[in-house]
Amino acid sequence: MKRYFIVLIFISTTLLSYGQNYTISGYVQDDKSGENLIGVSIYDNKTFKGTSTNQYGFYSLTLPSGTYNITYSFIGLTSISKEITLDKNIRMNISLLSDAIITKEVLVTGEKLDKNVESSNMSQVKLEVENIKQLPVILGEVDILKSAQLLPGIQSGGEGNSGLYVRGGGPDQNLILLDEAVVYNAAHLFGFFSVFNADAIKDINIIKGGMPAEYGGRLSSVIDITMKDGNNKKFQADGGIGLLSSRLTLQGPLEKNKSSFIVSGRRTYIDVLSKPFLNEESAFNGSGYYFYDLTTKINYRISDKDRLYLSGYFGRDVFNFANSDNGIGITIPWGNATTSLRWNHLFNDRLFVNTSLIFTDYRFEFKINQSDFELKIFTGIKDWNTKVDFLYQPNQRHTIRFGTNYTYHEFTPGNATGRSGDVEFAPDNIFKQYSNEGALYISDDIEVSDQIKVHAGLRYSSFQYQGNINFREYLKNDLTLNDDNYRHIEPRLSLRYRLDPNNSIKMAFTKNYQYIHLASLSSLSLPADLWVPSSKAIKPKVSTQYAIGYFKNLQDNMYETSLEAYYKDMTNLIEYKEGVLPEDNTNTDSDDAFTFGTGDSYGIELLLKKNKGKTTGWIGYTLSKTTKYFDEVNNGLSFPAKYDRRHDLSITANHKINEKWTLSGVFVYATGNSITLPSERYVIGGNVYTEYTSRNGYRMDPYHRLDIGATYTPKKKRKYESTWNFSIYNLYSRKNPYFIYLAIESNEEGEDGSIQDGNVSPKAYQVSIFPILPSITWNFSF
Amino acid sequence: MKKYFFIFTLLFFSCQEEITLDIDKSEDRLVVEGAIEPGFPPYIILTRNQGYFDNINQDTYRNLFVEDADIRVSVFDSNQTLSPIYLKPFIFDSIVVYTDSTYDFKSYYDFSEEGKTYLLEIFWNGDSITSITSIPESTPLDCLWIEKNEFSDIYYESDIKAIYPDPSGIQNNVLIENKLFYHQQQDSLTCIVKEQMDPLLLLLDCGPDNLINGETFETIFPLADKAGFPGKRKFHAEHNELCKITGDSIFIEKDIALIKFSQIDEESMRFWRGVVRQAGFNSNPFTEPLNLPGNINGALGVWTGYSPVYYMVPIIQGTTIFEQHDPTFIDIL
Repeated sequence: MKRYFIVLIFISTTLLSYGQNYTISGYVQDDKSGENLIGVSIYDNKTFKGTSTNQYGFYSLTLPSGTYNITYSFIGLTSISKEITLDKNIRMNISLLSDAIITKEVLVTGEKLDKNVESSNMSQVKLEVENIKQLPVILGEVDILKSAQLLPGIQSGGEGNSGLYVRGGGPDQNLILLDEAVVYNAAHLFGFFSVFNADAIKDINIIKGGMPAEYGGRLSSVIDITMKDGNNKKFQADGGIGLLSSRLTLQGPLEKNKSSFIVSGRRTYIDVLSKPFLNEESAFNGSGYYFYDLTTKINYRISDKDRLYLSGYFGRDVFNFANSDNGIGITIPWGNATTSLRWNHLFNDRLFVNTSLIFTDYRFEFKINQSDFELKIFTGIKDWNTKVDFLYQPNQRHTIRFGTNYTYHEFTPGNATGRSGDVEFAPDNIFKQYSNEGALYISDDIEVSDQIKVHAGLRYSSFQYQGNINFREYLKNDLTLNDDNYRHIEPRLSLRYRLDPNNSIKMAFTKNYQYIHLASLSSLSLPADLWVPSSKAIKPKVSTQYAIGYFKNLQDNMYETSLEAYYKDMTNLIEYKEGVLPEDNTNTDSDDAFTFGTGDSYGIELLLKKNKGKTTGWIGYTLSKTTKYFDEVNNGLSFPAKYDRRHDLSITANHKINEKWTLSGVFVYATGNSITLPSERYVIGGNVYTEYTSRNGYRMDPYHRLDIGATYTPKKKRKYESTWNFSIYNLYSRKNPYFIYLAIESNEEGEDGSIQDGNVSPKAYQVSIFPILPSITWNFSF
Repeated sequence: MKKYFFIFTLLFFSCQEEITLDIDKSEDRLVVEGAIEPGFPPYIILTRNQGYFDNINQDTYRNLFVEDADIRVSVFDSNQTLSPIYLKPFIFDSIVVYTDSTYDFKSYYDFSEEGKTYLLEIFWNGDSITSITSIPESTPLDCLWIEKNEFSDIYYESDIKAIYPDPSGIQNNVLIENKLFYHQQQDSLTCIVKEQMDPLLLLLDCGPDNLINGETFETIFPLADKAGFPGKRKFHAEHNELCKITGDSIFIEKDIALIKFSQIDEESMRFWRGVVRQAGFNSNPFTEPLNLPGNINGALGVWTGYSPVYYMVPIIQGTTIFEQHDPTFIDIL
């Protein structure tokens, strides 16, 4: 504990070392839409001391009294500078123009604060939605999570999969937030598309290491996604028609410059397209699949000091299967619903607070019926979450964040009910588990000197498992703490040493605890996987991560480069025991179902990014290794993680030819996935069974492909504008391995084989999906 | 239609190609398939494992069977002093089956009883291989009856349905097998009616009674496919078929089904449920491959204590069966 207190003492003594200061603060917004802008750089032109807007567009910059030339800079918008005499606290809201409309008081500057080198943060990336939309995409579906996979240190789950595997972490180790609400399953169509409609997204911040103290509850990463607020200047409609889905976004002011709304919806039409093949004559009439999602947000400016935001997301995947030959009907709906109510309040120019009430609901159902028989299997998790986050910027050398967070979890692990005729199975036996998760945190970004900047944070997290006793019953009966409580301190520390204005070295150390776990028998994160709480038998996962990096910018920050190395160890990872299946714990807890192990991951990540000019893009390369160890898995021997990849390379580029045409391209190369294949077979009851002796012991062929795209923007009409996006996915039609399967097959086509007769052979097949796939999408806006 | 076809080709196009894998074979291991049930001697089939891509032909299949093991089974209870019995191999339908060499096929066999636990010991190639299993209490079905299959347009395709009263309070693990004990079918080239029955019982399903515990309800027993598990095959009532060569109507006798409805212990259930799961899921790209969780120390396979009830069911629509069938040793294999 001593070392943590030393850090806090250091923070407080540094705070006291400054004299009379004044503060300039306010909100920065896009002049065209009125959207608050996240991550706008605000700095003094002479000293380059500065800050940036938070996720609500608020900034606060405290400087000694004097006259300053303050610049507001944001990629894609025109930077402006203002001469300000700071002899009192000043409130200044700024609108940044999207083109070169220059007034007398506005000075255009070409410089941008060098965040890559200057910030104490490392292993963090911000994705620009507009840039993502230019990249070639599969079947015309813009997908922000697939774009994130192109960054070093973030790996995909395989062909077409939107799952994220960050620095050796599993899919449940990512904290995916949408307007601060946790999204438990971020995938549509078994992972082929993410649940986020890019039209409704304003900002994506990805943290794969050096996690700040305000975030917790996951080991590997934070994907913090902020929805658009809605245009508060004028009514606007945007949409797109693609091969797979169409989408429509409506936004506009409810009260001009004071309140606005945005509603964005998307739906696939695979089910509609498939209807001609599944007409009434087909045995499979009634089968189909679709997904839809709806994103909404309203904001209201109560006063200059108070703002309210109410946002929501609702999405569902629905898979129907019907077979009239045997009367089987299957319906599988699943999806997320989230609601966030947030209140921003300015106590004064230096102290900002956000208070949130958040509800999250993820549920999965599987319903099957045949004749008089019905079975329903369902699982899910609900969170009621409240949090208060303070941002205090006493002077230009400190940015202090502190706050608290409480979440009440309601788990519905594997449950089933059924019916046969009039007899019902377990109709009242729904098993739920409840838990309380809380956290207190404090952190400070400290500019110790021009060379040294420190981000020091502490997070105190706690988790209390209540078993199957809900909150009301718990309050009535027992408030004493028991052995199922966990309390931990999670230090977060990163340090920047600036060698010169264009070069810096950074180091980070983070310790994270994760109290909820995704139990999966699958190699991917599937919608049916169970979320289970930590309990007496299931300990929290723990990770410790060390990272060091060298950051360099070139040619007036046109190029950003970074080279990072990391080492992460993880304990209390869970796997199902051999022979145990999720259905063993139907309508009860899963405490005895798991075996526990450790893992470690280390690697080097290289990023070269071009930010400005006609051609932009990046090259990312990762060299890494991830290993797991379980006493009861793989005979106690270490084995590679499912997504252990030695090499992972991605190259993306956008090139603007003229005002009408933009070209883009993506090339990816990755070492093949490690998979488990059988080494032997044996016969029981005349059937052949396989024995797998080495977990993830076989590597599939490497994965690589080239995608190209072009965006055509016709001349803007008076009332509307539109773009055409043309993409070719997998240009050279590489047959990338999707999976390998083995089969004992008859040697003669169409004949039943028999091992007794010796007319069968073991065979292996590699299945590839997505050969060359052209697509076209029309986007419109009016 | 063409444009839909084009879109679907794009959406669902995938291809597969046969590949060659270089996988090292693991060590030689014995594979045990053993069973014991009341009224019959225990029986064991011993085979060897093979490398996954080793050749399969009649010779390699015959060479899989192990005929030189010493096997004994004893009651696993220190308070009882029953002498172990020793199993000797004999050939059934080209399969080497070990069973009690002293077993008198006509007499009552009292070695195997409900409620007892049995130790299996195998001595082979200098290795000692052991396993234990228990025979739980049996649970007969209330009755079975035959109905026309409600989804088929063919009048003689039939289902066997049953009422199962699941005992409350304890965990039951159910294993269901069936086979065509008697079946006729027409040769498509000659129109000659042949008898073609299933030589061995076929596994239909296996699992615990977590959801149905204590309930009495109606269930269905579809005919297992030749490799086991529910499939396309259906029970046939008596009917007439057209000979495509002569145009004559040919009478086909009704099927007779043998149903084996067993209670087994939990360890055995995990194995047999794994068999069902491996058949269905190990080619699924989304699932982690599962080994069968055997209960044999030092070998692959399973040693299962069955507590079965048997029913011989002639497929006559509208008929209800209450009586259990008294099986022969060949019936239980």
